[in-house]
Amino acid sequence: MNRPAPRLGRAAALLAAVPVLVLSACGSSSSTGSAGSGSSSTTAANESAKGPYTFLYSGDFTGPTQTYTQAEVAGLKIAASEINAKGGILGRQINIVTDNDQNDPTTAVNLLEQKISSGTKIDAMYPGGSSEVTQALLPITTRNKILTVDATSDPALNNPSKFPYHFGDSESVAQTIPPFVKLAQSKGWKKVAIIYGNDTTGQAVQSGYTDALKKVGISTVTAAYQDSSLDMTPQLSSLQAAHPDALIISSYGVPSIYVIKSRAQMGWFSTPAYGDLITSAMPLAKIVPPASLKNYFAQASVTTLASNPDATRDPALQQMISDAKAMGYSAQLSGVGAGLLAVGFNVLQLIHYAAVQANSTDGPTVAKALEHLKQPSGPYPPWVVYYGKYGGFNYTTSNHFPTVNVANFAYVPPGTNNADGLLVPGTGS
Amino acid sequence: MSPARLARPLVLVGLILIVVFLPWLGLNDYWDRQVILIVILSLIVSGLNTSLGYAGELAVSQVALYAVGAYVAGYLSVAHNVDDIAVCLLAAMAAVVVVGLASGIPGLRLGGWSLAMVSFFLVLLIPSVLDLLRAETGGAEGLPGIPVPKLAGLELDGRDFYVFAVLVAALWFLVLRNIIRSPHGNAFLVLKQSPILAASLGIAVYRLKLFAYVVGAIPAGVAGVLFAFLSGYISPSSFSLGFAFTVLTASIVGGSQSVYGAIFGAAVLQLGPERIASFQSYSLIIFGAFLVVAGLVFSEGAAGLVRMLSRRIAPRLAERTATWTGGRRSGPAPSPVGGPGVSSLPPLDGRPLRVTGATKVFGGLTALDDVSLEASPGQVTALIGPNGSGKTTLLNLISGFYRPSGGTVHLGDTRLDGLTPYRTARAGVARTFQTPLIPAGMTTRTFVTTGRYASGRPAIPAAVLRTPGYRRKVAGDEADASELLDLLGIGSQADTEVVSLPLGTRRLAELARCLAARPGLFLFDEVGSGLDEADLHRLEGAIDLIRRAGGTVVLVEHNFPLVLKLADRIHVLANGALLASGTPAEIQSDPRVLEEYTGAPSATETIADLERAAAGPEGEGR
Amino acid sequence: MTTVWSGLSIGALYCLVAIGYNVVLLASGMFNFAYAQLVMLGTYMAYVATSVLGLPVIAAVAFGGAAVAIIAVFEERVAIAPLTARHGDHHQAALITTVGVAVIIDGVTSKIWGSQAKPIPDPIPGGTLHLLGGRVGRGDLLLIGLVVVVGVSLHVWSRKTIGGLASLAAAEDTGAAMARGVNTRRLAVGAFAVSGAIAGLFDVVVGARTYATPTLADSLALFGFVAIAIGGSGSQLGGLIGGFVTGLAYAVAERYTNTDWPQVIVFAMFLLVLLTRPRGLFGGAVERQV
Repeated sequence: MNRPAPRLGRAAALLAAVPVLVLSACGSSSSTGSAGSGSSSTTAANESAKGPYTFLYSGDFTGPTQTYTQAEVAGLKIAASEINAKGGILGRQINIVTDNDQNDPTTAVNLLEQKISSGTKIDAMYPGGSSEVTQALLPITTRNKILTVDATSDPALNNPSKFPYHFGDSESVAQTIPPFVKLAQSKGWKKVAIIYGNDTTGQAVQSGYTDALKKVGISTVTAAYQDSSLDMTPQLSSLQAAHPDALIISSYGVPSIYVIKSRAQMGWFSTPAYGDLITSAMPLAKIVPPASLKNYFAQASVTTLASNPDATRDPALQQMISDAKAMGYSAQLSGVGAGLLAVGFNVLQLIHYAAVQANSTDGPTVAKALEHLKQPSGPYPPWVVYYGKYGGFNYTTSNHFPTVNVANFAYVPPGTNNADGLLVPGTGS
Repeated sequence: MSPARLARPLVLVGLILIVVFLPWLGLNDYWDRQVILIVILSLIVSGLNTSLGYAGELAVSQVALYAVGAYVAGYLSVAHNVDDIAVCLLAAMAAVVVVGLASGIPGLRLGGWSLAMVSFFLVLLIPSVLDLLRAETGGAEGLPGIPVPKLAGLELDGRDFYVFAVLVAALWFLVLRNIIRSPHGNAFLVLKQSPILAASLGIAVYRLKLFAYVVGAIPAGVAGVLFAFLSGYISPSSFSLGFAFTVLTASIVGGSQSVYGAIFGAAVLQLGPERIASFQSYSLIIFGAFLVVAGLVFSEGAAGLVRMLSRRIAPRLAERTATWTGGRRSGPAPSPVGGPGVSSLPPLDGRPLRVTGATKVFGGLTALDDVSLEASPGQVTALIGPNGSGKTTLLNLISGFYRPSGGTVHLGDTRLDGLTPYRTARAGVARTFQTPLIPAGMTTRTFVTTGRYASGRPAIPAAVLRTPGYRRKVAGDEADASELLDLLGIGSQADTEVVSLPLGTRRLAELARCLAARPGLFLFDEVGSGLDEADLHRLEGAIDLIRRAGGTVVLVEHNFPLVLKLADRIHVLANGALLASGTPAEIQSDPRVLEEYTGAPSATETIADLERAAAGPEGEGR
Repeated sequence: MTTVWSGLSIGALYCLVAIGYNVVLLASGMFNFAYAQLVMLGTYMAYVATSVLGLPVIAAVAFGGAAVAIIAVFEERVAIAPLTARHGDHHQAALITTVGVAVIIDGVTSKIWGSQAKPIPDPIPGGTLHLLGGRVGRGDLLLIGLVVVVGVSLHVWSRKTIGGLASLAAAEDTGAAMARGVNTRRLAVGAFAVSGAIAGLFDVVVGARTYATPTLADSLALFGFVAIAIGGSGSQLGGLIGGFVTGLAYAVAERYTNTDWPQVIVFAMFLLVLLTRPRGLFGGAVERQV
């Protein structure tokens, strides 16, 4: 009865919370946010004649990743209600439909095929919360010319020639690594230990860190655990025996608690431990005793830090937060944080924005518009996190993933989210 | 051949054709895919059934073999551009047979529990092994980009693939059906009921189990290839213990012992959970409830449910038939046709049995101590003695179930001691059991034909192809069985399920089964116990027939009067040693025997007392 | 040695599951696949009792024991009793129904408590201590000790007392046991109640180590099964040894080898056990019966 493990998609979902610096090229774009305002009334009429804009979310609603699924869906629903209140996408009201694929590729494909065959016209979809599911779904969505946007960050999916209608709205694992490399260099570390979950994400993290650190002359020792592990003392012991200067923890979900607990039980506090962004998804400070988090630092995205003034200034983010509270998603906000809601939120805001530019809701046409997206001119776009000086969705015909800057990350003492879903380091149980 | 029997294959072919042409009859892409997935699951389930349902061995390794098939196809097509599905199928079958043998040999050698555990570990190992072979399999990330398969240069896309998948599955079910409905299938049923009975019929238990297990690997491998090409992407999550459980559930829901039950079970398990998925966060709870209900309703499988219902209707039909043929349905049938004095049994090639110095020690306990005796053709040799005197031990020793600690056993010129039970049976020893071992799911006639498995069985390819030679052999066996049943006066029960027979008839059926083997030696283990007068009478007649035909009969019996009536020579065992040997008259007057039986030191006890003692609760109750 | 302690305390969890499997197996010959879920449910009961109701640890233990025992009996009534009321071989069907119950429990816990882990207070505060050259939590020592006590006493009970012998007899041959006056149905209910109570009474001790998490049951079921495979089914002593051996073997393999090897190593070890002791380390011997 083992369920599919959380995989790359989840990591990506978290990474979506990462702020992106706008590249100067994008920032200098002279286009306006209302690029699509020239739409002729006939187009709008044609579009609205198509009926509601159906958006399908395929994800795991019952397994270990359900908390994150719920947060993403909450984000989607918030965006949908905002867009619908303003008349929908080119006059089409957004209708969100969900499938519980339980992170199983075969089930996900079945459910999608069922929808397509039964005549449900899907305008766009979020193709799964795990890269396995996305891998399995993309051939079908591509064949059916369905626009897909999700947080799955498996580089193999960034393949516009094969999947022309698929876009990532978050960055790959690789982008979270440079900040650590910089830190390691500044501290003069020679050897770094990595403990990771033995799944797709963990393997990507492990090889990413190992390669990046090797380039700057830092060696690594690594140990992996299985999803089903209840105690990581053996793995940590083997790492400790190598006397590393620092420990990277890349752990997803419940096992991250066991890693912290094992480390505490071993009393291995002398070596600083750094949880990567994936590990930070678990509100550790809420669950484990503070004493066990000694000398532990969590990688956090700056935009979701309560102390970042931009977080309070961004009207889109503030709107999203207040909508979330109004729509009954306060628990999600304080639970997993605003960053994860933003993953779903951004998908629809981005599609809306591109559809207006394309003056069409046709999948391939919107995809084309996304590849040549005219960036908004104001300081804050309709989406959150990837905005202004932080970044933007600057897709091209050869790259369907955004890029991220090193300065977007900080290592902070673990903390909890405040009522707005923004992280306050150093707080906890 | 009756019209019904002719019509059956036609109905099957018709059904297959309908399924093949469903896409042209309005099946949409979704249902297209669902049917293929059902086909894939039913192949795996059917593989499980061959080992669980037929060989009686629980093993979940089909999922591992399914993974092997899928990854062989994935690896060949992605890394080597081998996208011909026929080539992939052959390679996958070869691979699963190898893996099947490698996992089956240690698992089966050590008995059922071991195989279940080995197979459980095998499934557990899938992700680790795939990860160790990351370069070839993609590890946890999976293997994307499996191309559209080709068959002899033709692309099998969409509906072509559908037709191909359905036809491949149909072919498999046909092959399986032909194996199951053959003497080999009967051997499976016997094996499932009792490996002991199977061995005593000359069935090489271990080899047959391994055969069933390896044959069951093939459809799983085929299913893996179909799945790889259907989904175009495979990853370890498709081959989890959870899936193993789905397969097991489908097998049980459909009925593990039914050929086509696999299809029903697969359909339920393919379509059910998917409907349930729409309940979102409640879907787990509802799926759990679905399993509980399915387990309760289909505790004997859908096929079992159908069988149970038909069993309730069938007796009525049988009653009618019985009235027409003028026979009585059950209870004591009329006096045997070939009763005493009317021997119509063709001569038997009975061979002399010679036991020399047989000794058997269990732990520190000597159950049999230097026993020597002989049994001659055309004679009934009886072994008597109180409980624990070593009678059954000796019988088990002769039939190969026990290895003697000392001494030899010869049948004619063949040395029996040291042979395994099935080799002993093939050397010409047929036996019955104190409690008749009766397999479920076969008619009395078929049960009798299983006696001939040891002396000759058709080759498996012949059974699959239903060659004329095969048909002749099976028809011959059945005719012979009918004849034997008539001879023993239970011909009217030939088409009854053998498990539904009353004890007396069961014993006669066992006798007929022994006779069908035309053995050199008959071993009858307390055939008389628990029988009423009429049944006893028929039994005496039957044994007398065998003696007259020249058979060698060894009779272990509590029922002293029966022994006196039947035996030509009597050997009395006490505390594992031979106490006395002689003719019935000699034994009757032997004071030592009387003492052993009654505890009285003097010979004043009458034979009547002895008879009463022997026929008491101890003699009858067991 | 720290690794050894870790292996032993995780092994104790596997033992606990193996014990639960065996109690039911011994009394009714059936496998209760939902047992790991019952243990998991115990940890949630501990969470409810300590964090929601604010009860002291002792009360939480009693609360867990009673609650899980009731649920286990309910499971028997729903998933097992209807089957045993019928004729025929229902072991395979029981497999489906008990897994069904397991899935229901999974679904209900995840529905009520979500996927986030819930903390449970340590039964013995004071953290870790040095013992025999390694570090070990006080709570872990308690866990190991209690599991050994429960396992050994159940073993002795099943071999030495009338009730235990009746239970053994029922597992061997239900029909024969019934004929000799053993109330096999009451025995089955009793077994579920006892095994459920054990799962519940361990709620705090287990929960303090694992937290209350919805994935706990899957891990426990898996390794509890491995423990049974190695120790031999139907023997409490075997389950106990099997659990500790499994925990230790994984811990040592994980300490000294690469990621994917522990599974392979434990499999190899299992094959070794199989070849030398075909029925598992302590599995009952089979005698050929004709």
